Amino acid sequence: MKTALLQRGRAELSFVADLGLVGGHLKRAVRKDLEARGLGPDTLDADLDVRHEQAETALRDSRAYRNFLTLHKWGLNNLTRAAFDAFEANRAELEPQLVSPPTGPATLDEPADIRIPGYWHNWFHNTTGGWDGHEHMGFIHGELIHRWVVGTTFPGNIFAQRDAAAAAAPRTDYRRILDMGCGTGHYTQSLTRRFPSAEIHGTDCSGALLRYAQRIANEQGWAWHLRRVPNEETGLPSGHFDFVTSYILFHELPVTAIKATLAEAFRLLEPGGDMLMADVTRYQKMDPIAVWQQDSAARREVEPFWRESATADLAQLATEAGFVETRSYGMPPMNYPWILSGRKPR
Amino acid sequence: MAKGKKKQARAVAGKRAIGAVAAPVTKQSKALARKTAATRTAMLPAKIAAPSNGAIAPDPAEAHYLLARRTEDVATAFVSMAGELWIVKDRLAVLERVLEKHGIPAPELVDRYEPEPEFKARLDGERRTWVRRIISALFPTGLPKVDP
Repeated sequence: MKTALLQRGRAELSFVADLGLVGGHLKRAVRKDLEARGLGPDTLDADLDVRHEQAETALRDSRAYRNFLTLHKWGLNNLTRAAFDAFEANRAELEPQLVSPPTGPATLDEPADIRIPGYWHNWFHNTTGGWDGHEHMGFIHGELIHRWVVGTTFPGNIFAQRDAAAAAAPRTDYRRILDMGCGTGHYTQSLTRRFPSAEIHGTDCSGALLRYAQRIANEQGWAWHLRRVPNEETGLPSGHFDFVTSYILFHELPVTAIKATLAEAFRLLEPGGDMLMADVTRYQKMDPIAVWQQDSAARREVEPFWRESATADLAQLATEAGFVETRSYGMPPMNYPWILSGRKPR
Repeated sequence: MAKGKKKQARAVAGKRAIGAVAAPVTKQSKALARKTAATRTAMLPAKIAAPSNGAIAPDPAEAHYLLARRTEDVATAFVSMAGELWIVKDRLAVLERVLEKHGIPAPELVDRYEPEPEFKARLDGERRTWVRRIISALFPTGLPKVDP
């Protein structure tokens, strides 16, 4: 698909991305200011709510902090808007390609009786209007927001990180793989490259994202089986898969939904099958300042389950779901992504 | 952790406002943004309320003629203006380039111009310098120095 943007959209999205890079610089300056005010691992409170108050009070006169917050707010308020604008400016060229996608082997099943969980409508990542809030959100988020902007601002290479997560699977001979919360299929592509002979399935609650994933798969000739269902209740047959996985899904979920998702993964796996869920770094593996910065960013970005997810004992949850040989570890060099893996007993 | 201290901190957090939702330009996305903001406001538990990044306490050592809240509005407008100005700078650079290549003024060509790797690298470098210069203006002696 031809995705080149007209000048204005190209320039504005590049500007938004570069503003994010300067925001990263200011974030490090905020850390320095906090340390200069005597707050660090030994003095920050263990309770995160209290830690927020400590930091807010200490940084009241920090230019770095005030400017960082202002920039972050501008980014939050303008990222999706800029992507929408870029799409609108290019709609005449993009839309025909999106509404008449290439035909191919990928299928998309959208059951009529789908039951979308309440948290997904209102809380699942902060995207203006929600994941199905724009008919072409798959392109807008997958290409303009994720690939163009996040791909520039996020530490490391977001696509290499997905490849690394796929490569962390204990086997290379899987026959049937499920990618839970596959979205537009960025991680699904990593799985397809890593396991080229496997049958690849993907589930997600967003019809817009799945339609774009289907387009990508058909363009490449990949026979993905996509299904618009909640991950906790896929309706797929028990024991059908030998590998169930996800990427950057859990931090969007309340712990109750993480438990339900692990239970569903367990049901879907055949005996001896592997589970691997990649997600954000655990708070206990971050220093107290980094935790405060991450937790306050999650507050501003309205990611309400980040804290409970990032502090949950994932290995314990996996064990409770029935998995054995569970492992919970961060990938070097940044402890990112965080990997939870386990096996369904034979 | 003293119970009272924790309770007090949560009470403060509960009073905070949610940050504004984006102000998209299309009618459809405006309506969606309003709906999203209203839904979130209604459902946001106090404990996870977003901290206010609005009111900034004025430094008594510095002169302030605007209310703190307006100061932030000015800062927000300033950043927006920087974005708009970059778009113009970028466009001029591209226009010059296209004129060089084709010898004619052609807005259509500029709109559809896809920078070659070398020119893209130049634009990227100039934009990054530009963004840092603009943000540096928010500090008395430029961007704070930090470890890479």
